[in-house]
Amino acid sequence: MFSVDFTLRLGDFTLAPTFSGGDELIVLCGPSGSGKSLTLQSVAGIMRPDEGRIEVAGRALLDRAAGIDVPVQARRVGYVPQGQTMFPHMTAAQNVAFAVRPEDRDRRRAIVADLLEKTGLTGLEDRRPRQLSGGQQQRVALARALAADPRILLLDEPFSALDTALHGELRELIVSVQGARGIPVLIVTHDLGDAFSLGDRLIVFEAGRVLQQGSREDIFFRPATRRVAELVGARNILPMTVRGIGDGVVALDWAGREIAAAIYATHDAPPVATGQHVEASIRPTQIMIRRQGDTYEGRRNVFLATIASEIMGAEFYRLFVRIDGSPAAHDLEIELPAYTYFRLGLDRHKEIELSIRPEAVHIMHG
Amino acid sequence: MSAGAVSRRGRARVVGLGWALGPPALLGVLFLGLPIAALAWRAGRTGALAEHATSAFVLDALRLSAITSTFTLLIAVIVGTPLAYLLARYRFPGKWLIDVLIDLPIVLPPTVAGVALLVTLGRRGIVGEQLDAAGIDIAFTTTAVVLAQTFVAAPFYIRTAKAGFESVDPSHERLAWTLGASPLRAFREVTLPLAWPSLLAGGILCWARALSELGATLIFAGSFQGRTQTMPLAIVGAFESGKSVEVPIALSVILVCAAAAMLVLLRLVTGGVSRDAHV
Amino acid sequence: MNLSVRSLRNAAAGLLLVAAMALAAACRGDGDSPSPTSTTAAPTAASAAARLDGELTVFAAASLTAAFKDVGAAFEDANSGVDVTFNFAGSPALRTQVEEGAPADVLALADNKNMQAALDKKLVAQAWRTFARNRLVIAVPSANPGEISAPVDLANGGLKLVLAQEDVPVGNYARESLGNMEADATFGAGFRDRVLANVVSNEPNVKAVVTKVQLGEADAGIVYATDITGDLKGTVTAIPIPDEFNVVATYPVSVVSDAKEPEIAAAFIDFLLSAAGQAILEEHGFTGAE
Repeated sequence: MFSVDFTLRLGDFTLAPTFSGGDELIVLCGPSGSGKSLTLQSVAGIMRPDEGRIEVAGRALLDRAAGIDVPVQARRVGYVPQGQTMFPHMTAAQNVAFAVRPEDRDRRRAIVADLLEKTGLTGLEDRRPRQLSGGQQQRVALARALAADPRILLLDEPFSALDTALHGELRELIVSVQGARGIPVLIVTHDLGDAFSLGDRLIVFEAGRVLQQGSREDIFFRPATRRVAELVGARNILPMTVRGIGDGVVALDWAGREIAAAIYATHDAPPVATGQHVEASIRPTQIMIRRQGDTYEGRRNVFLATIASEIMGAEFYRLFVRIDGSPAAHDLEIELPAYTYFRLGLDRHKEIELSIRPEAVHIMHG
Repeated sequence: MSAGAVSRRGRARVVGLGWALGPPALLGVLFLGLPIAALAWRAGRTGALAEHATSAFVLDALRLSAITSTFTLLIAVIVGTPLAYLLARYRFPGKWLIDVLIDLPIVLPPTVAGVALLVTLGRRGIVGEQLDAAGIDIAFTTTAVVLAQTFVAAPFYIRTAKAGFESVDPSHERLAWTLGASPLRAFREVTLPLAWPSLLAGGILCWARALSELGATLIFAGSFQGRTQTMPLAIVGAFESGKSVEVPIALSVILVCAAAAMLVLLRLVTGGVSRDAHV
Repeated sequence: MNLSVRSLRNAAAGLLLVAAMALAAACRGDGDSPSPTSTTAAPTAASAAARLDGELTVFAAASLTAAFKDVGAAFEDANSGVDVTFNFAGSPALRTQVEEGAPADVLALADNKNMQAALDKKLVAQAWRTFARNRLVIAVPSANPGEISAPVDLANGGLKLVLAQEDVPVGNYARESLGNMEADATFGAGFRDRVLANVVSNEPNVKAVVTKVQLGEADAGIVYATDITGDLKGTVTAIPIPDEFNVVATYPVSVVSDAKEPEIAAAFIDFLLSAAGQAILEEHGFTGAE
């Protein structure tokens, strides 16, 4: 458990994040310069907030009001900075040993060996940084952070220098470490894929503030604001007007077409009123293309459209479609697996039928 | 094998401009090397070297030079290391002024340094006057030699050490703190080893400059065998005495050998360190 | 006023020199220019002076610095085609430089010992001529912190005395002079050693001794009378050493064997010994050549 609520002023930039979390994987995402790394450094004690409070595992690391500012070396945080993570003049084993109090040599040796084994570095003990790959260096840094027996783990862009295969390995290692230690792990990343796959909880930053915090589903599928939607990669952000409410859905007018959005009981968004102008987001992966001749499951949110243009990726295709009768170049972006594209026999200019579940239509406020 | 790879790379580097580099390079080497070779040849030819190397005049000067330059190095390291670290890590008003102050003795003729020391610590100097009243005399003592050398040579250490500390990414230190290390332990186990090649190079530069110090010493400390007459002063003295030009030549060769030995040592040690270090 | 006297003197010196040159040319002839030309050129003063064309390099003892600059200027005034360049240093250093092949035409030293050594090595062409004499004085800072009023005070305990090092002429003379004092009953036995025990620095040349006294670092130094000249009068006081203990330094001069300009060198030496040259040297505190 931890909570963060402080203000740090650096020239023109003010960092004032407020968020909390449990013993889980917490991903800090947001554009570069939004204050994610500074937030980690503030928790670590390298940066000194002007006011506020930081609490980890029931212990105040910072409480300006109470005059508490625990020195860096006494905070018991496992910090892995971005970039050059190892001490360049030490071997892998020496790097890890640095974080273990040297009172008992045998104990220290045992801890180091254990951590190197757990991070898959056995046999590389005597290597120096330049003899290790980027992924191995990251694992040394992780082992070293764990050697200090931290109450919280702080990882700043741990995947930034890694290729795809190592990326996956390290992601698994982080998940297993969190599970084994049962401490909060704060990860800064700008990669939405990492944020989604790793984060039990996501904290969205912009311009020094937390825009939204919540589960990965909350953030990705139910962003509170248009800006959050944009930051987490929502690409269909559409202006609509509320026509009416009832039957578990909000009926919306979308450029003369009717579209229904589900009302979530758990979602604490403020209620909308008839006639209100809102914006709704639909994730490109949440739009289904119906095969010709499939039977109807319901009458709601079905549209006839034409594929206006396509962008082919290795695994996923992005289609830009125009709703029939629409004057726009395209109205919706759809992302689907290449396999589905071919199974459905899709092609440019082809007429298709779209179906959007009301749960995929998310109304945002502000 | 790695040795083969190195020599192949070395040869490849010369191919670029090729033999056009030869004549000017040779000229440069000759210009720098010939005077040293001539000194050695002259000393060897007359056989004066062995005879003078063991005279009391030379032994006193050698001993004094070794002692004073070592003390100078010690003072430079003790006072200069914190200063260099401060200048490398912290920003504060008036820092540029300190930077200029440290550069000045490097640029100034040593004679000016000697005069500056005299008007400060000399009997009529702004500080020396008080010291004189308290019965402390600095001029004409071995202390004066060390002070003159320190004034002229310490900036070489401070400069190099500052550059060395600047080259150490401060994030390494901060990282060490997060791992439970006290600032002192972080400095000792992270910063110092990473800056070590620069500190060593600076130390040897400082020591070598102290060893060759003449102008400031002559003005501030005078010249007295066994007390203030270091090797360079002994060489000048021998030359001025005109007894025989072989004496200053023999002394010069001894000084050249000491300096060369130190510079070779520098190569060996820093070469060894940088091979172990990163990048 | 001074200017007119000097220019008159220069004019006289110039005439004298022209005469001397004409004489020299007539007597010796010249290796470089055939004698027929020299005899045809001799009749007019202008053409005789024009024969002295070139650069003269004079190596002179440090104590001659101020005086020789004036002598050089006067010599140049008298010989418009001549450029005089000086190299001032301690006498032994100068001898060594010449020995090592430094390009000198005239060698003017502060003692006969070094000149004799130069002659022995055939560095100079012929027997030297003495052109000036100098006396020793005790130099003290004007504030006189050592409270010195006579040579006997040099043995006072705790005095800071600076001498020129041994083997530099003034250093040797100073020690010789102290020996002379010791021989006198009023100073007492061991006087020389007691004074030498007060020595805090043996400077490589006389100018360094004067500087130490001037800066007040030393209580006293033994230097040439000529070293305490105009500029120093306010800061340094000269305390005379009585004649019976004093050592008179003699300044020998000679043409260097390998001189590039032996003619001009000879002319310079003649000028030095002329009334004009001697007058300049006396102005600077030297005693005449006799």
